[in-house]
Amino acid sequence: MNIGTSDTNSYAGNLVFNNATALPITAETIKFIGSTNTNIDQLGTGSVIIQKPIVNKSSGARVTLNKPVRVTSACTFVTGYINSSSTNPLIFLDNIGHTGASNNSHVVGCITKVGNDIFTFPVGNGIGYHPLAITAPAAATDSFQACIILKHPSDDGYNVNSKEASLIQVAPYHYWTLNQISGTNSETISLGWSIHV
Amino acid sequence: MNVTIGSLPDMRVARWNGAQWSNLGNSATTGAAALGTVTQTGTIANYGVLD
Repeated sequence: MNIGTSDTNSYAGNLVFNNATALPITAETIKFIGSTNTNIDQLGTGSVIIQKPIVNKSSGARVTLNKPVRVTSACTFVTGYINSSSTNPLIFLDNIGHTGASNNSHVVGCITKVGNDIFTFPVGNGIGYHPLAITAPAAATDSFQACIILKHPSDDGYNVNSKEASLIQVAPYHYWTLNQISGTNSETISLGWSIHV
Repeated sequence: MNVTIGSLPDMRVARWNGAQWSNLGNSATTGAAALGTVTQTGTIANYGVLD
């Protein structure tokens, strides 16, 4: 199944597939628009692959991933958000990146990154951009998953009052998880804050 | 809710080590009080829960 070849295809509603094999969407660009929350789903067993998704929804609307979605060229954030989870993440393959993430547009949930590049996971809480970045892993097959968890850390057993004395305070608004799925690496981590918590 | 960062040099990366939050330091910051990043000191090989 091919959707377009070089044009932009815009979707204001749900994008639902039903394929038993990998789904090679060959459109140059899939733009998610509209002011209502929508989702991407796959009723079959095939992978969902979108070369160039653009998040361009209005009124803070979100696209929820009901299956993992692989980005194979680039992802552009303009306005609106992607909701994802650890089981249904947005996946960036090796050498694939993103542009435009901000307070107004990012992923609320989990992102998987494959590859050996410096990468910023464009996550946030739906009003503020709170990215997590890693230095370059060693191998192109290495992969990490980062999630932003919109809960008080203490509610999940990570007591903010149990801390080294050198920490003034542990932020109670949310926290991140970072797990290496493939490979064994030592990385330097950066975390982002926004005034919007 | 809005929260303003008081001091960028005071920002730290912290990791839950299974018993408490450990201080991974601050080797650099970018941005400003309203929007920015902090980078830990050195590297880690165990990741998990961060704040």
